[in-house]
Amino acid sequence: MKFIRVITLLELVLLFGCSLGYSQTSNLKFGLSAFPPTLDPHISGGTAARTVKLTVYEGLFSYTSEGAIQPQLAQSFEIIDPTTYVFHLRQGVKFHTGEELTASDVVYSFKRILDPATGAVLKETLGIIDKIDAPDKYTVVITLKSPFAPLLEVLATPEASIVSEKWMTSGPDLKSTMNGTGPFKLVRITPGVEILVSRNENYYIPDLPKTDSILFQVFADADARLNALLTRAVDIIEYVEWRQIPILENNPEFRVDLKPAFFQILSINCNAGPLADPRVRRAISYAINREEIVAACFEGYAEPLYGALIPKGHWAYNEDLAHYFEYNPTKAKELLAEAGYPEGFSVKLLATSAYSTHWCPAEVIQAQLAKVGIKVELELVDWPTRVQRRSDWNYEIASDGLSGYYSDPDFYYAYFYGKGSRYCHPPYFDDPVVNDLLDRGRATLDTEERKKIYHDLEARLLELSPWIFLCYRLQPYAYHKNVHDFTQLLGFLSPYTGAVLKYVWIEH
Amino acid sequence: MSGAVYYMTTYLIRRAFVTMGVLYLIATLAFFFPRLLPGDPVLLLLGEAGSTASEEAIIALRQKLGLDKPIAKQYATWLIDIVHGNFGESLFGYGQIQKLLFSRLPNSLELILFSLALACLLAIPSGILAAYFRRSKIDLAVNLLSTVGIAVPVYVLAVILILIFALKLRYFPAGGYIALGSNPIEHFKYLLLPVFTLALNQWALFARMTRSSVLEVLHEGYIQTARAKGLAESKVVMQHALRNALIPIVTLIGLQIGRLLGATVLVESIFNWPGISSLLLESATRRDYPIIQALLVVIGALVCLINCVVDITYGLLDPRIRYD
Repeated sequence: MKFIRVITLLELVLLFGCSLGYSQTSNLKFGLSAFPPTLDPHISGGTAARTVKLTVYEGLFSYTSEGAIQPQLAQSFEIIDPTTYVFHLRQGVKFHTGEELTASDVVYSFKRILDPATGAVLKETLGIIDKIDAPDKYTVVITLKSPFAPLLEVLATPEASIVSEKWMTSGPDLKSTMNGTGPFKLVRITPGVEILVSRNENYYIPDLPKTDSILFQVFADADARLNALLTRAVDIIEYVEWRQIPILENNPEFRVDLKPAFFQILSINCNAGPLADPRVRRAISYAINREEIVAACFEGYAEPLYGALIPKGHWAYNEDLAHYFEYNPTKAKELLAEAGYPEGFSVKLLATSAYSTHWCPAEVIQAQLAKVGIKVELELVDWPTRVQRRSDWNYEIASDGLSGYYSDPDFYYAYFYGKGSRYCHPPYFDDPVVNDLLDRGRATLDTEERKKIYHDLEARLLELSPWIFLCYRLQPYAYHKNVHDFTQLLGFLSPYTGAVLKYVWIEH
Repeated sequence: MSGAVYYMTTYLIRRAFVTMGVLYLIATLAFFFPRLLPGDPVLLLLGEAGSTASEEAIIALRQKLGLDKPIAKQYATWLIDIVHGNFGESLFGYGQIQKLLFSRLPNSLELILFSLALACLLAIPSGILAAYFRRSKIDLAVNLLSTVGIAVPVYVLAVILILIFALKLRYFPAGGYIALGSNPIEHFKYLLLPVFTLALNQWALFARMTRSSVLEVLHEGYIQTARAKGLAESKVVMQHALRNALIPIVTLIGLQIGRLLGATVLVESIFNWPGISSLLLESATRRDYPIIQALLVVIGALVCLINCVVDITYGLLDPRIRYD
């Protein structure tokens, strides 16, 4: 009898203890690949910085786990005419320092973005804004200089976050402090090592965030990062390397989230000798065997790009252009002969030794171009030197990996418009047809019309080939099976995956 | 004042002046050398996301960071600042450099000193035994193991230790860091594998050095004299042979600390241990000029200091060494 009583008591204790377990705090640990160089919400700083910032700062709109746009700080909006947008703000939203979000904060945030002294990423793109007014405490009216189709998408990107006017004008240290309206607030930073954010108790959406805190820890070495996940020191890691994926896939404890995100290209200096002729550039594209690159450099974790960048499934996708540059060395040689280089020529290819996703394709391409008579000299430099040379346009051909700023086809604007002093613009490429299409594409709001415009744009870009599109590489995140509702955002939105961390919960 | 103290004092004063000169040279090199490398930190700060940084944004950021001022002015300002102990701020979000140094330098020193201590603790007895029982099984074992310790690269050893003790046996974490203040026991758990990794190579060097020094000394005349005088064998070894064999060991310790301040980068990276060596590599890779400059000066100063301490220790160990 006594024995049974003891057992019952023990069972009750266990049950009670387990229920206590469900009410204990849940903390997510995230393995970053780099420490955010800045936490300023309007300056980019890379994927790691964005992942952290997206838990603390919010904009008028945000991205859902499916990559759609949802109203965030803007509760609703009206488009009065193609150049006038009225946003109605949510009421009762508080910044982490306590002050309420009002229209003047929104006006201030955009003014800050447009101020050259800030160095904001969106300064040029949002230069389309003519004026911003706050007719009352919770209403913002934005008037544009001309119609701009991707406006809402831009407003959902992390660098369009709304900041507190009162706080920002007090001159806070933006490398070590954050103050937003987001589901988490900054608790502490150990520079170079980790960042801790914890639940915002006053968050305006009930039941969010699903975890009590997120500890972002930096593991610069890819193997150290993987080991941290394998030993459960962290729950999620970013930037898994392809060679590590089999280890994870063979382990039922872990999941891998693989989605196409960044694309690899060759950027061509359109003033450099033979490269000035589009036939030569097209020849190079035909002479490249993209399948080989996918196999050799990405272990199959990449999708070859025979056409341009708008992906399958996107509303503006162009199936008819998708097989433009199928491997064809014969055609390559014909084009070279036509352009006056039947014996080929010599050219320099710049790549960084820092990332295998850059130098490996370069090496493979060197071998492939040799078969059509083009002698490639590889220039392998470290990352800062590579960045410098790209910015100075000091190269003939350069290998690069990039992403689009948003998934609206207007992302092409940043890379190909005009003379572009931007570091990613192909040197000396300035085509009036492309410029005109880009201008019309962003100013038209009708989807069918835009589809036609961007079809023509891609066709033109393929014809002139200032960039040679190689492949989309698959971006892997990995996490423990107890982590739920984590999804990497698809395509160009992948760097904004931090936006879904508020939905993630851990099973105990 | 007495002769020895007089000599010591003048020696130290002269040494101090020379050190000042060396440090000034190091500071100058530290400032200009990183800037000779191609690569602009401003571009890295803005262009990291492969994003669409414009001319204006680049100029704005350069101004904000004070990198647009004439180079001579930046140099002069920096020199004055470091004399006052102000090392400035990181360009890449690592914060105030002084604070960064205070948090990271002890981590590296901890790694270095613990591994050296462990290594010496084991190496000196091993070396003495190997020397004393020359050509015995002990000598063979020490020889073999020390060859392995010198030949195996530190990153290979690190990976093997992680595989066995962290991933398979789960005795220790695979890497990372917890501050001593927040949890001492966990702190040492994280410290153990990295220390072991470094210690093997150190042990190998010190054991061999000890062995050969002791061997050399054991054949000296004064050892024979001591034995002839009837001194116990243990005293012969401990009091006479060891004391003299310590001089090259002390040199080696000094050299190793200096070397390890820069060479622990692999261990720090693999184990994610936040020290100054990995910080220097990361900063150099990103052209974070203020940190590179500060670290080169600090490491240079430490090496000078250690050399000074080593030289003084000689005097204590060997009265024949005078400072004139």
